[in-house]
Amino acid sequence: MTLALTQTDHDLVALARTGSEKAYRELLDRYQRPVFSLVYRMVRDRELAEDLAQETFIKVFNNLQHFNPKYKFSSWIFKIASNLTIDALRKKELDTISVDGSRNAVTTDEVEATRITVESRDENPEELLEAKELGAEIEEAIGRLRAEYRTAILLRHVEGRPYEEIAEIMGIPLGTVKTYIHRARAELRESLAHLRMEA
Amino acid sequence: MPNPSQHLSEWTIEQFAEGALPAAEQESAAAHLAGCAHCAAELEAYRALAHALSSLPRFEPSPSFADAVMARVRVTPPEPRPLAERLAEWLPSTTRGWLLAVGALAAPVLSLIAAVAFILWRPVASDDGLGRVILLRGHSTLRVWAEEALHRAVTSGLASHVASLYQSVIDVPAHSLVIALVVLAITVPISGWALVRLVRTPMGKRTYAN
Repeated sequence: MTLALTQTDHDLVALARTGSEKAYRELLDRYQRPVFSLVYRMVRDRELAEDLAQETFIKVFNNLQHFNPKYKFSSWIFKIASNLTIDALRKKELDTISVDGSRNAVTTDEVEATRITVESRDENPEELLEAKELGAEIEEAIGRLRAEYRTAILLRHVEGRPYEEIAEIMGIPLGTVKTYIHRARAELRESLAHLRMEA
Repeated sequence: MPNPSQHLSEWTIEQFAEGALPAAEQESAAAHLAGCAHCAAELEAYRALAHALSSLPRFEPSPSFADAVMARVRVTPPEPRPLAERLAEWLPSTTRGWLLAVGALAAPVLSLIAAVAFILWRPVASDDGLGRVILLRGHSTLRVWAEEALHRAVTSGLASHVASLYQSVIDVPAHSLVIALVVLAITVPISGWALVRLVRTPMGKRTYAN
């Protein structure tokens, strides 16, 4: 059985409920990068991010029978990912960031094994280096935000989620979401004031 | 509405950039931005930040990620549940639910009994096929009871409007009453069922897994 790209998340959930492993894998394929990226940017530790992202999918998949189709599947999975991540952050303070390997890595092999792989973009080496530097600065600035601001700004600007959905994911009022995002932007602008960014 | 002599707030600029302002404010902000270099620069800075954020790459989990997840997921088709268990789902789970369910079921039954009694009591005034058959087969005792009950209701003075309602109903042709009965027989149980389902629906509970 082939699962068409046009199938909605809800179709896939319905199929998965009937025991279709392909449907589970298609959902994984659709959401593993967004979920992992969000979690990784939140905790800034690759191993922990992998654990939390896996935990998210396992929790979602093992509770598919309780999924209410009234809600978006994406809201549900991001909500669980965000709750698990914030719980983990509360348990453990994580302040460092590295896209070049886990902060726990000691040997060169460990650094290489835990290095983050990003989606390739068609840019020349110079542009790539510039983008990498700018990206690293932005990642650093995001990492300094409060966890709630970080979640909100990442969902809004990196994942492109509407304000209403972010409110549902975070379980907070719409007005609070707007305030968080506004403050996060203000802090980011302050942190990145020395950079030349183009729209 | 922003004051043309003052700069727009950061909030207004952000909302403008996202097209989230009401039409009139959006227009007014656009007019201000066209003539205010400071606010235009603020807007440009906002757009640059939004662009930089949306250009951030997505990170890839390890290649074994999907398999590691699937190894811990229970992929089993739901087993068909026993009939008794499925039936039990339809039964009320609380005393209040049972009371409402009994009430909901009794309502249509009582309505039907009352309607049948009315027809049996009604004088044979129509030569309509089905109506006539029903009327001719009516039991005289039931007819007397219904007559007595109606007499008491009217003479008690509690419901003089019942008499006029009765008069208007009695003038209705028999086949209309049969149609009304059929409609009643269909709609009242449906409403009873809906009521039972309503009582059984958990209120204010989300079905999210967490």
